[in-house]
Amino acid sequence: MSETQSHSAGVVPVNPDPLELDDELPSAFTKVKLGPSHPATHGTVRLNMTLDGERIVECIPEIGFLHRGFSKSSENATWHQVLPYTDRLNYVSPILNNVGYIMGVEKLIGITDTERSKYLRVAAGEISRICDHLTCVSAIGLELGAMSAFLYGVEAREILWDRVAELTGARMTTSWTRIGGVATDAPIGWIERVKETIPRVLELTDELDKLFSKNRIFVDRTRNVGVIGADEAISWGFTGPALRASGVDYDIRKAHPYLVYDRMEFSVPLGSRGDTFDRYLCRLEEIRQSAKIVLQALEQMPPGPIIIDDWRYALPPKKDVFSSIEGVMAHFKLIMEGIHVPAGEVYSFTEGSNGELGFHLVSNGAGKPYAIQVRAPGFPIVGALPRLLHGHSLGDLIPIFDSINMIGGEVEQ
Amino acid sequence: MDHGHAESPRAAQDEQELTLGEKLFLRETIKGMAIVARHFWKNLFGFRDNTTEVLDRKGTGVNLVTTINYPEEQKPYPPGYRGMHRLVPRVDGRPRCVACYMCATACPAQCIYIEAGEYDDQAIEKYPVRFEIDELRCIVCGFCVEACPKDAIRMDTGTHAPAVLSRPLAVFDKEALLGGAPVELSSDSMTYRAPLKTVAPMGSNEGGKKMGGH
Amino acid sequence: MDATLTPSSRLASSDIPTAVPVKRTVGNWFGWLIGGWAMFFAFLFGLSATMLGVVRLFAGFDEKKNSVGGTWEGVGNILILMLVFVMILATLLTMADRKWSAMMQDRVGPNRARLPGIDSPLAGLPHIIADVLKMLFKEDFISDGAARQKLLFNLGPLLAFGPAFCLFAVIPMSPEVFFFGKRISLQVLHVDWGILYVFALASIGVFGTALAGWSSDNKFALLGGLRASAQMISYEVTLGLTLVGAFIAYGSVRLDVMSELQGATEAAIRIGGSDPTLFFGWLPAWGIFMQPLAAIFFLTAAMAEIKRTPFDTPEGESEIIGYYLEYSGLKSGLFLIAEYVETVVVAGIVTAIFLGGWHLPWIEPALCSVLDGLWHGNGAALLAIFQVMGFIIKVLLVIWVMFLARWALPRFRYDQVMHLGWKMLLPASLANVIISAAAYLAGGREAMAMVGLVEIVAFVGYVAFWGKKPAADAPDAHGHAADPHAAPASH
Repeated sequence: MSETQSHSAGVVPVNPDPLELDDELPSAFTKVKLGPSHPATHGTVRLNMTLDGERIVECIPEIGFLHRGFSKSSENATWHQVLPYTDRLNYVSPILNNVGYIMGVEKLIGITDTERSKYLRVAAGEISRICDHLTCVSAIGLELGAMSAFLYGVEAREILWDRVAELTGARMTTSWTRIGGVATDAPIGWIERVKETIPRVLELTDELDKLFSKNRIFVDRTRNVGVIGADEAISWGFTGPALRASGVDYDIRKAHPYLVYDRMEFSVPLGSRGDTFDRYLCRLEEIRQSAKIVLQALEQMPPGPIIIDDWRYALPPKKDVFSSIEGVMAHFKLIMEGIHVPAGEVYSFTEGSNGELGFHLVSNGAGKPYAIQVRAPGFPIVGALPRLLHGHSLGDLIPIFDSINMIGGEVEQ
Repeated sequence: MDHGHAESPRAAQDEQELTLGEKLFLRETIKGMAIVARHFWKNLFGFRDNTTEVLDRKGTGVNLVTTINYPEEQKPYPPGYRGMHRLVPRVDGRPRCVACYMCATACPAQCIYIEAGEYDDQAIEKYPVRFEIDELRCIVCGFCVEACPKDAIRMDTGTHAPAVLSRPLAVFDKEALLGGAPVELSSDSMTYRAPLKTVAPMGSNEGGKKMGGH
Repeated sequence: MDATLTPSSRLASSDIPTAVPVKRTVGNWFGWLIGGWAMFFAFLFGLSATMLGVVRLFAGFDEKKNSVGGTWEGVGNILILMLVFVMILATLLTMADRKWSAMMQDRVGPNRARLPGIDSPLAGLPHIIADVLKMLFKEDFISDGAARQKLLFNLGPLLAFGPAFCLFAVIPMSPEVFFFGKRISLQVLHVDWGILYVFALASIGVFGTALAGWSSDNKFALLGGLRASAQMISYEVTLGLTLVGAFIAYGSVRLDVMSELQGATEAAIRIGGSDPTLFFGWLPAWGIFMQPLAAIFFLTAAMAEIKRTPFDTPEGESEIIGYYLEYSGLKSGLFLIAEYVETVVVAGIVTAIFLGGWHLPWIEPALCSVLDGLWHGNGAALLAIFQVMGFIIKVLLVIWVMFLARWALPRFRYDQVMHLGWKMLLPASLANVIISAAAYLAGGREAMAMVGLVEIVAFVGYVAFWGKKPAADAPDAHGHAADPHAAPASH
């Protein structure tokens, strides 16, 4: 426990050595290991905690139970084959990962996808973001005991996943983007379905809002709990809703617009205290903003091809493969050798659901990546868990841990 | 960076302080309970509509229940859902597959095993002697369907890999995979989608000509 | 691969189950609705009649015909009330909790267990049997640490369940009534200390949780046990104080006396006409109209006392799992069933003190005279059946509200539970005692009802109208204005 750590308001500093208290009874710290399989640990994470009574003196998160070897696995796959791995980074919002990765590869090659594909990526990505935020927001309720709210959130997520399944062919493991475009176009009638779905989702979101936002039980559990200031949040490497809850106006969709986000009208909710309640509110509001973006993207989406017509990077259309020798040759070369990405190094970052999702891609010109590293948005935030938990009681662990939305898949790559 | 804040975030946040009425617990408690109670009574008096999709379950007397009695009731997968593989047969019943190994190469999970053989007196020279998919390894990404130059493997069965009691049972061989409607001319099964709100019959071979279609 | 293992037939289309469409018309649904409720009330009527009948059977062995409280009648009551009614209801509640929660959460709920030969989920009822069998036959695992204090470890669930089970003894379910020539009532103990018995025994439950927490030799369980003991002891105080207003009103701590006073007396019922006890001639003399706030406080404190959500910090399954963490099998089941038994008891007390007990509002004398005509002047006995039914329905209603709170509300933090108990509920109930006493001195129970009505109006106003702002949506969105140069792409 570092003495330099600032104590947030309302938190009593912990006496460093209870044996020197004036009490007649000596007392000692309790060591409790919470996890790796504990109801509150969404992924598999172990929190080694030292407790003074119920107060957390020290908390050391221990990650790695879900180690998947993302970087190493990626080196043995073609650029294209890395895509399914990215599904499983943040498995609640896979499309955002797909988009983030593919945009990195496109940046390395120096191509952009087609106009329609951009809109599709934005729309599907924002649907994914809604799913992620719904999961996080309602899971806070679940762990705090409000089971019904959780299931309303899950219900909303479920109907969105139905739309994702109609679009991509899978609910979670989408593997949907392709270099230079996307794999499948929106089926006929899909846009109308989404337009029917979004109001229902917002309705359920409003129910969540009504169940929690003004309920003093919930507010007491989350207000001034796990407070982190703007400066400190930046220095810990927070991004995304967790950073914006601390009042820092940094959203990559606004700050460095990519795809067609600069054509979308949406606002970025900001908190001011950086506590758990702000993180909850920010996510709740981002659900509504994302819904706005989805509708706008679907409205503005132009007709046209969904993938570029460049047979060096994109598979040829099936009709060429079936009927022309050039098509078959390009098809076979792409599948067998992989896409030849020019040698180089690039860092591409997009706004994932938890914050800045960065891909650092290194290519040596071969068909396979030389190295891939992910800047998982959740990793620095989980790193700050000891700081967030310090001095709080064991009961506060639940809302704090939920509000940072640790996703095992991306933290423990 | 600044995108034009009207007021400082702090000012707006302070309005978020709970009012006295909210601080007394009871009002918001009762409101929350009322929301849940509304769901309860709707579900108690409504009848369950398990045949339509969740989103379309509306109307008088229909309750809000979104789950189903699986497996007695099953929700059909949408058209284009990546389900269990099938090897597409020709009209004479032989697989369309020409054992070109594209799917096995494209597979990120390396779950496809192919042994090629030759027909003696046919216009088609190659065929798979063995074609096995380990459904436990398969990650259902659909890359094999995309990679197939003969439209010989599809994932349009509308079901998923069944549960098995031992690992070898999850390895599906050629006989197990070969099935569904036969296809004579290749079509783009990956990108073509039947319009929504209709359930595509299993292995339907209608349409499927163009991609990117609206 | 071995050819015999090849699942060649797996994809045969007959193996793929398809959705079975359930055809239900509105008329069909309406029939279910009417039929279902009719069956429900018929069942309740049968249950009530059986309960009275069995007690009458036992009471027949007693000497005196004109007074209640005989030994055999007590035995009959123990059997029918505590062993059958409470235990069956508690068992049903384990299921109801799951099924009701499913309805609140838009789910189907438990539907897997089947009775042999019946291919229908039967609304999940077979799960009761499955649950009980599971509890009975699960391994009774005792960890090494707990084995060192095996006696205390085993005593934990007993001490948690035993007192809870005994609590129902003082709760009256029916009036004293001549049933087939013998005066009986559905109440085990006719004692002067009435509700004090409940307070005394409920505190014993603390030992169960504390012992369970300590002897489990598990840090999480210990934390749960500590939380439970602190919380239960704290809420004892509030629990008692909230009821003082009711004691003032009825001048007794006997639950049967309290229930009796909330409606027409037996003599008034026999005379017929209108109910003379109605406040102002139209309001049933129920406790909730004299003590509306106390009713809410009592329900809250009682939910905290029996550790149900939102006060389930000792369990808090997502934090510390709870004091019964190390228990398995039947012992774990005892803890769980004790909670449901306590729920029934709390609902019974609330009904007896605040919801008029067995009394049916307004209609009792009129109903009695109608029933008299039906059955040769034996209307009071028939009416008793309806009164027991009324009691059961009220109990179910209170239980439903408690479950509703459980599934709708988030959990308090441990210190906030204490805060609520000591700093909010306790002063509020003290104030309630003073106001009630003043009102009683000023004008008896009618004045208390007047104050109560004012309280109800104020409460409804508070819930429905006070602090309602013009729809202020998007509370936190005040971020970016729209990007001005973002031209929407042309379609």
